[in-house]
Amino acid sequence: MRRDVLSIVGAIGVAFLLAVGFTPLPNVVSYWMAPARELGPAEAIVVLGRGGVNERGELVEASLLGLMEGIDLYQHRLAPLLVLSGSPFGTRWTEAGRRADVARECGISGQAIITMSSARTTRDEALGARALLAPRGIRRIILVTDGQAMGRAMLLFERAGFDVIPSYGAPVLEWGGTPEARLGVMRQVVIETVARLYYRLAGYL
Amino acid sequence: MRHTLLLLTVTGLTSVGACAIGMRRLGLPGDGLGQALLGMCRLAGTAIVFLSLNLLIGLAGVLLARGLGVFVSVYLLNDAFLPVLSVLQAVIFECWRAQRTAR
Repeated sequence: MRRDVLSIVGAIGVAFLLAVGFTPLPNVVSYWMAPARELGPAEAIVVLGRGGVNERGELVEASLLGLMEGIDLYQHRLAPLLVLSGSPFGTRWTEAGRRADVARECGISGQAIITMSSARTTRDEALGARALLAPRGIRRIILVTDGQAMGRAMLLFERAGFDVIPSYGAPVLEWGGTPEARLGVMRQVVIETVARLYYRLAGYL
Repeated sequence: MRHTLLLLTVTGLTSVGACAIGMRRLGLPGDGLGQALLGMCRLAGTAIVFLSLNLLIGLAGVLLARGLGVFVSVYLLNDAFLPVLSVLQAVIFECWRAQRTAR
């Protein structure tokens, strides 16, 4: 490749990196990607898998945060059912199973918890939720996942026949954060953009 | 905001210090800084090419494995070390290329 082309690519890359670290660009893009809908009562809260379980059988931080958000929504009586999803691979524990253990320890009745352990992708989770919830006549759900992933997840769940409310209701534009945190947000935005492109090419969206 | 200011102040101070040492102690020409910036852009460009190739090949591998019936998560590629390795690849490649230019 010609050196001047490499220099231009590099200059754009460096300028982008500095803009990500030292301007609110990632916050604005993330806010723009997050769908908004008024938070209200639903028939179930569906907490999507996030990161799984470590070698000691403990939920990773992202998974625990998602679970806590789901438990909080349940305790605010926004839905009578908590559906906990999680990937089956990696360790002898399943993320959904460990999440259910923690939810019970937080005082939620076992009858109000449904686990979904076989899904490996967001699309699998939407199809799995339909198989579990459609026979119960459940359509209106509150979906819990990362802000950046919410748009794609909502579309998939809507295609599976659900009426979806994002767990945060309306997104909040946050201007703060450290350069490292903003880099993390932009990383998630890039991952989600690639995932959306893949889902579109595969015909899932 | 304070965090950002601290980072920019610290890196600004070390940059000014490096310029002073470069020009006064090492006798580097001040007008060579433009060429150095261009070199940094070239190195960054090479790193971006390596990172893109690494991600594309990794993604193709993941999709191939899935096509063969073995589920592999795309998130395996979401490792902070991949950009670091790509930068190292770029540094080695550019140093190698600089040897040819120097001869």
